[in-house]
Amino acid sequence: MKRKLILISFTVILLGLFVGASTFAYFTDSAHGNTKNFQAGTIDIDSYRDGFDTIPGPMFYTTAEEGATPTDPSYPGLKPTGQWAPGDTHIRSLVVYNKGSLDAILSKVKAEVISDPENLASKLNVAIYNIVPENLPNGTPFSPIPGDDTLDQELLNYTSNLINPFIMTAHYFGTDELTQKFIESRINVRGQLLWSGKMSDLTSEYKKLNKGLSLKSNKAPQFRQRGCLLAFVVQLDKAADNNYQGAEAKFGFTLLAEQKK
Amino acid sequence: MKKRIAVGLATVGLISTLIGGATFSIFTDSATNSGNTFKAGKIDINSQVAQEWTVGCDNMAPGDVKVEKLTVSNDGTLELRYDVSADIQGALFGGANPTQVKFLKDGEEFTPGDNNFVLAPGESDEITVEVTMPKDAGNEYQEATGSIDINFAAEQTANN
Repeated sequence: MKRKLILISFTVILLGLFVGASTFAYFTDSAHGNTKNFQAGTIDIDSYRDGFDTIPGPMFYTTAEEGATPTDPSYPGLKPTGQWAPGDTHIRSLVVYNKGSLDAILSKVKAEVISDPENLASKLNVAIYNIVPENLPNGTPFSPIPGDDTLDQELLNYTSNLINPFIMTAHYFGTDELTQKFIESRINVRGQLLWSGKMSDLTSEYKKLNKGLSLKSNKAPQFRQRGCLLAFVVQLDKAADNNYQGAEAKFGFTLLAEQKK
Repeated sequence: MKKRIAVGLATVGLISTLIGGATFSIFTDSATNSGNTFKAGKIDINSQVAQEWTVGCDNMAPGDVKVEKLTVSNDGTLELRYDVSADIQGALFGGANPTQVKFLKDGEEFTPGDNNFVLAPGESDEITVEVTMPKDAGNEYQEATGSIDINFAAEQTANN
């Protein structure tokens, strides 16, 4: 009985405390530090075939229809290679640029086989150059990159006329010959060899470029700082025998960029 | 003490793993120019008889002239150059007064060999073969036989 009384008393006191607690109001406050948001930057690389052809589309195609833009309306390609004979060399160029917010380094290249039933890749020699524009004879900076706001249309047309015959008619392979052609065409540029080998090497895995190319972020004021002009020189090897007559292959070229810092 | 060392080693291992893992993450992106087509051309030379031998090749008499016209065409996709070769066999074409064989292209006589006749894709040439049995071929040629086998060998002109 005594134990029961003690238990009841304890319960009453406890209830009293709860009821009492609700009657105590007190002021509160808190201080919060400034919010700091974090956002990762981006590496966002894009490319298009050189500005003296219709855009977009593949660099290499045998007929104007094959090189037509995948747009509506479609525009035919301006630089078909025609069908290749052993020893034929063709050069096409690709503008690669950075749309992301981080500076990038263009570091690797590979080729994807879309179709190659006769293993033509083993008979295609490939060299990739970085085309470094210098100055035109009148001292104006040469840049075949459309969108470069340092050039007006008249000057672009002028450079276009210079480079087109060079690209269309040149049959050569190798650094020395390339340099010679630049000189003959009176185009004051330098070509840096980034990679050379067989197409079949490129299709096996990413290949490191001899020199990483800096592609500034989208904050860079001039396009030429964000982009580069690459020349793809492809030759059907003279050793390609009759087994390769009529052989047809399709590839994609992929450039990989990594963050610079 | 032993337990502490074990815990310490485990911690170092964990930190190393974390640091190691972090170094493999960098931002990358790639750009692809797809659908590049490379097509090797074809060298395809063909010959057809445009005009069959004038009759009587199997019964020639001294003074006879027999003519055949051949059309040589480039049915491939690359420009080619070709040589003509003729394998002439038999008693009719030997001896003191052999039967004569002349080859003509565009009305001009040529000797089979290193001819380098050029044909663009889709073009064709007409080759005339003229066989003349000389009038002074004597009785020793009676029932003499012979054969002419003509071949056209082509190669690409590009880079060659």
